[in-house]
Amino acid sequence: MHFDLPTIWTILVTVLIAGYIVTDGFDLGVGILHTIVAKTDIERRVTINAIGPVWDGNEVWFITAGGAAFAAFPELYAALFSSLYIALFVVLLALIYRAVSFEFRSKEESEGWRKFWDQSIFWSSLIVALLIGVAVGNILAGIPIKNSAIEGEMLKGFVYAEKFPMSFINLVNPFTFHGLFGLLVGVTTVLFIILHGVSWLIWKTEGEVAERARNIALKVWPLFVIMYVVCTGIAYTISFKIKDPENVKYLNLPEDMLKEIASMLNNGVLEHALFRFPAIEFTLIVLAALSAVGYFFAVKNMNGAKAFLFSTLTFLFAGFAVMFGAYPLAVPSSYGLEHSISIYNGCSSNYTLTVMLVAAIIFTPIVIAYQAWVYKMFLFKISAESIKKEIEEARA
Amino acid sequence: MDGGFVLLVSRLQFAMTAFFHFLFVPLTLGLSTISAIMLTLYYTTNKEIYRDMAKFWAKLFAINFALGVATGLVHEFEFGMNWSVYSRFVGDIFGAPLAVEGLLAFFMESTFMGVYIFGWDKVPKAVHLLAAWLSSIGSNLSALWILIANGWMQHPVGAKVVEAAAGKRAELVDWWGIVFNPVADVKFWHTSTAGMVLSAVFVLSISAYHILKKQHVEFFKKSAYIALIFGFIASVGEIVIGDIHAHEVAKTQPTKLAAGEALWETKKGANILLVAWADEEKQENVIEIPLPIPGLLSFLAAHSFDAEIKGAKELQKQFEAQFGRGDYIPPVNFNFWAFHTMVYLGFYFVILFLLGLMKYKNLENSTGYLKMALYSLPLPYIACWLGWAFAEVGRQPWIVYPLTDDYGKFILPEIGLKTAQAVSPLTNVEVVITYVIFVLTFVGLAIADFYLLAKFATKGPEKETELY
Repeated sequence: MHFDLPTIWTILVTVLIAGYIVTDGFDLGVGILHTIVAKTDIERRVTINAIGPVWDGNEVWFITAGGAAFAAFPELYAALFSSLYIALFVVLLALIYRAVSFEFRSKEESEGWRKFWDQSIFWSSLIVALLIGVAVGNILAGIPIKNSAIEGEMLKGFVYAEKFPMSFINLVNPFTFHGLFGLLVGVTTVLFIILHGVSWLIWKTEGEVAERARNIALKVWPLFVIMYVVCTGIAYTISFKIKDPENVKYLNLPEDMLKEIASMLNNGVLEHALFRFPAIEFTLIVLAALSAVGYFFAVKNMNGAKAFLFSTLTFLFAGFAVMFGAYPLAVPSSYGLEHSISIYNGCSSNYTLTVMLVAAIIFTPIVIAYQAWVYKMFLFKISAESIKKEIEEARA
Repeated sequence: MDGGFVLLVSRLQFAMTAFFHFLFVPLTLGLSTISAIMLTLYYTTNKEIYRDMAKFWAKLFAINFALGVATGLVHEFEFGMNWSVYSRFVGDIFGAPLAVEGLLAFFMESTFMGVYIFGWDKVPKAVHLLAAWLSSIGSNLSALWILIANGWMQHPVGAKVVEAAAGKRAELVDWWGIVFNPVADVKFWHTSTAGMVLSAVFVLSISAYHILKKQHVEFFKKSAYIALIFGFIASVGEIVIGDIHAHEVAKTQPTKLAAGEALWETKKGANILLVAWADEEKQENVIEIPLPIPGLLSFLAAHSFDAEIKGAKELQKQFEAQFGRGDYIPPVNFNFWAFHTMVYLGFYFVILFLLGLMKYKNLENSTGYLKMALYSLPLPYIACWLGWAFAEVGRQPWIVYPLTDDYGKFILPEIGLKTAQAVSPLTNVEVVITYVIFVLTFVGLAIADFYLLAKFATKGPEKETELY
């Protein structure tokens, strides 16, 4: 790895995305679990209040990750967002419905109203979790983009080569490689998000809600482990072809890195494209596995704080393994490696990256500090009894 | 403007998102501040009534907030989704303020709003008060950064155009230049005070409703008083800032000024028209009622009663000579009326607040005034929309208006990017699907939102703690 600005920004954007999954991940999980672990209206209010004061701030990680990707890797932002147009649109809809569902649900006594928003919370949380995974899977397996500059078009940048509806269907088409991989990573992500949500519910609530959550986790855990192994195995087989080695210069890689990749080429194919640093990656994968085991025992013992720590570590190790694997590619192209977006041809100018780095160094610790402080303030257990009491006190 | 179906629908979609975004956001700018003022009064005087006031108005703020965030998120995504050519061309510059907005403002706003709304009796008073103010400062900071981004599109300072690995693009050369872009900064003050005016009208109008119904009179009279003072200061400030803003537009976007004032011929000592209707084909006005102060437009735009103001016809020729064939004059009637109605409403708000302050002592018996206040509720929304419509339609056909110096001369013509060039290579089906579903969703959610706002606004203050 080179410690240049694009690399530092790759790490920063990864950290922001990780921040999103770690924070909003558990409230997405609670959103999925909420109709299952909570049977009565009061219990449902328990689950939603468990994330009430924090979900909004959590979602900002996503907005900031988006903003940072836009600023640091504008080519990537423009290409991905226009390529995954319909998929992202669905994510957006889900995020909108989720945000307003929390806000609207309890503002009206009617049972129909509350059931509608409960369903909305479930589906929107599920769709966001699933599609984030689908997007990651598709990107890792390579999506059909072309660099217009190679064809002499100087304004368009990276464009998606497939037209709607294939552009959407192929993301989840199990008969194409990247579609299948996308689906598998999507399902794995949903399972992870459920486990992560359980750890929060055990930490933050008590009584039947926490009990039911635990039983679900014990059932979901083996499925997650199997799926994670399957995804890692498939990721190991991914390779990319190179149509015209001459054009690899468009990746804009530093010279020694270009040489390194050239030496890994076999008949115009880059094999094990995501496992070019096997020692580091396998270490991270093993650490992820160990954390998953730690999670299992923590949940068994009803230790919410520990379970949360371990689900967070599982994701962080797995996530950083993926980042290392893809480096220095950001979005590999199934049209040939030369059409890919690397962190070098996709990034902003050094000046912009420097200015932003200064801002990030100053403000990220501040944000983390006050978010941690807020979490600490709201870390008291809630249960059906405590919610009932609060409502009665208010009415008295 | 020429260009295909995808362009048209993408523009409609963006305008629609902006429209809904501005149904929710201006209220968060000002109501957060008003509620924080009330909370400060409570913690300093210890009077229960201020506690209930802060709580009541914060609740309405919170209902609105979720949709403000949601529509803002859609905006951020739409840059990449529908305007990818734009996003990659300007990402080096435009992305930075968006990222800083998230890091600096958005986290602050959302995190501390959570503490404010859920922290009653759970966190120490000082922390609670700080949270109220930080969420208000956060919302306004967020407006600042987004307007720095928008201001750059209107007046792209601090940049150069280079050829990068994936093609031509604009790159940042002067960060503080874009932060202190005069167009951006005046835009921020204009928008932020607009949010304050809107929120003051909102509080005044709902208070008027209750006073008219003779319920919770003391509570709402006090609320109205705060709104009147707050609104009066904001609305007077708004007019002063509006004047500075118009002066900047005159310098940097001559076609916008010409369209907004329905000025076809270049004139020395140009007049302001009170009423105008143009025949845009023939390029002349069919109706013209000027304000009886000669040379006022020249004075406001260039600070001299006989300064020369360029008309649309000459500007069209000048742009064609520099940028090739095309239509460089934005729609005149639309811009004239968007701009002028906004200005007229701006003066109306000053009168509304001034009258209220004069009648305050006997407010509960001033039925006529209370009705006037009540029915004024939609007006600031309309003013905000029209202001944005003028800002955005007025700069067409450009998405990045070419950079001019203070005398309207282009100093970096190659940075100009036309809206038609900036759109993503999407299919008709894609844009139609998303457009229709977005419209239906936003309409539905806006109805739900206004239903809840109306429900809690008309219910009046209550003691219940905040729970989902």
